[in-house]
Amino acid sequence: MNRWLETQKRQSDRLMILLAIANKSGYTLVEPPHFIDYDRFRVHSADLNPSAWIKLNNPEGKVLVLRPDLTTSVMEKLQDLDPSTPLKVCYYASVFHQANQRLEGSKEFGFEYFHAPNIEGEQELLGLLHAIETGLQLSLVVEWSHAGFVKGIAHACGMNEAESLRFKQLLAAKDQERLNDWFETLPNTKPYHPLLHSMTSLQGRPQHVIERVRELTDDASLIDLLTPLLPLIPQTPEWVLDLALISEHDYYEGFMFKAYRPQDAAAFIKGGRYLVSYQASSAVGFAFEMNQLEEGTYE
Amino acid sequence: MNKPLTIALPKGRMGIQSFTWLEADAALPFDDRQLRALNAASTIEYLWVKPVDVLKYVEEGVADLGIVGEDIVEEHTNDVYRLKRLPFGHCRMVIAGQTQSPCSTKDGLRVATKYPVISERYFKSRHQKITLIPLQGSVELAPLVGLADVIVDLVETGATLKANQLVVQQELMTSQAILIANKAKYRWSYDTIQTLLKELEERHALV
Repeated sequence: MNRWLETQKRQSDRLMILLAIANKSGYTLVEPPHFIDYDRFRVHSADLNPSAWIKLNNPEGKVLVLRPDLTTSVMEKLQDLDPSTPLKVCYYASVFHQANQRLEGSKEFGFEYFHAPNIEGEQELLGLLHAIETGLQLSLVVEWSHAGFVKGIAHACGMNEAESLRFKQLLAAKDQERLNDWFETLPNTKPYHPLLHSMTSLQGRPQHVIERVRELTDDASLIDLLTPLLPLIPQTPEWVLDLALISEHDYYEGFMFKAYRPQDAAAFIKGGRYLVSYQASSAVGFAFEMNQLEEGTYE
Repeated sequence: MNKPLTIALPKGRMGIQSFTWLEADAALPFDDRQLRALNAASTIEYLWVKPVDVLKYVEEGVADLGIVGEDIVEEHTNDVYRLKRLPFGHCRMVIAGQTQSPCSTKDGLRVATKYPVISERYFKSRHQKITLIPLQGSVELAPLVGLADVIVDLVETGATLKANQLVVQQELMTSQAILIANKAKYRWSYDTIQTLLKELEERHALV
């Protein structure tokens, strides 16, 4: 069998495994719309790179964007959903962007559980992740946090939007040296200096990290965000609490995680609890690139 | 035995300084043909690559870590961790021109540079209209021959600017060598990287 056929067979087998997991857990396969209202998309994805989006006008003169992100696209499809009804959907579809003046697409598989109750939703997410890890025989290291931890510090320190963004950028680069220089210029951050000085090293086993946070701040509300999640998290070295974890998407509002395989150069699976802003309710979900799954197969 | 950490070093003076900082008295193992080498303890594999390619090696995860000028990271990527600034490779990114203050035309300031991203970001933050003239080298020549009003470039001693009758108008950023990490490799090799950093800090604190 030639390599192309082998690849097709492998991809098809994987897809069958994923669909079986989805089916068993009650997820319905949906086809997200290819085009999304540009203005609405901007509201959800203000922090993405708009220059990479592919836009066009429909006959009514409305600006549409070829879906660069599936979560937002699925949200658009389900905007009329009754917020009191939980709904589980999965998808296998492409996202598109422009790079070097070329249209590039990559196929993603994802799960979304809309209006998922707190904790039950996170539990479901972790169960799915475990099923995928086992089903696809993956070896993963997972870093996790609560999106409210960093937002909470920014809020307590009275950071404005620009300062909040700078704070997140420095954390996303794990740039503790610049972070130390920067927050010295913000007088309101003073009560949080011991914590801020250690932000990028607050990672490891959850209990140990939380103990460190207790030593560094009196703000119990930050720890209160994490404690309900602790019983859900597998107590293994592969699950690392990283309080400087930042997502490229600002829609996360609770538990969030990134998972890496040993052969990856970037996070393989990303997800968590996010705000469904059409309905002022929340959902949990995650997605990964099917192409990335193929990369490293020959290593 | 654990797989060795892979560190990409920039060819040239900064690469030599980096290797000395990491390996103390060990002899530099690279030449024109020898582009990868293990350290004596076989705990680190070094890759000897062009400075701008250090980023590529780290971003793609071929190297776990890399050392490069901060200016290059700032210009080319946001997709690596910036772990530690190192005590060498210091320089400044400046705006320089033939006069002390920039003279703008109605079409905006013409800016010649090898750093279009940093330049654009700076002038945009000042709401200043500019025309970018990206160049690959000999940037100092541009104002002298009327190609640009000012240049944005890296200055170490200022001797090249002086030789071309240019003066510094504004400093945009300081730069020095920085240790960067691939995000996935950082997660998988976190303990090894922290141990290495601790050993280096202890060794250099004694000097």
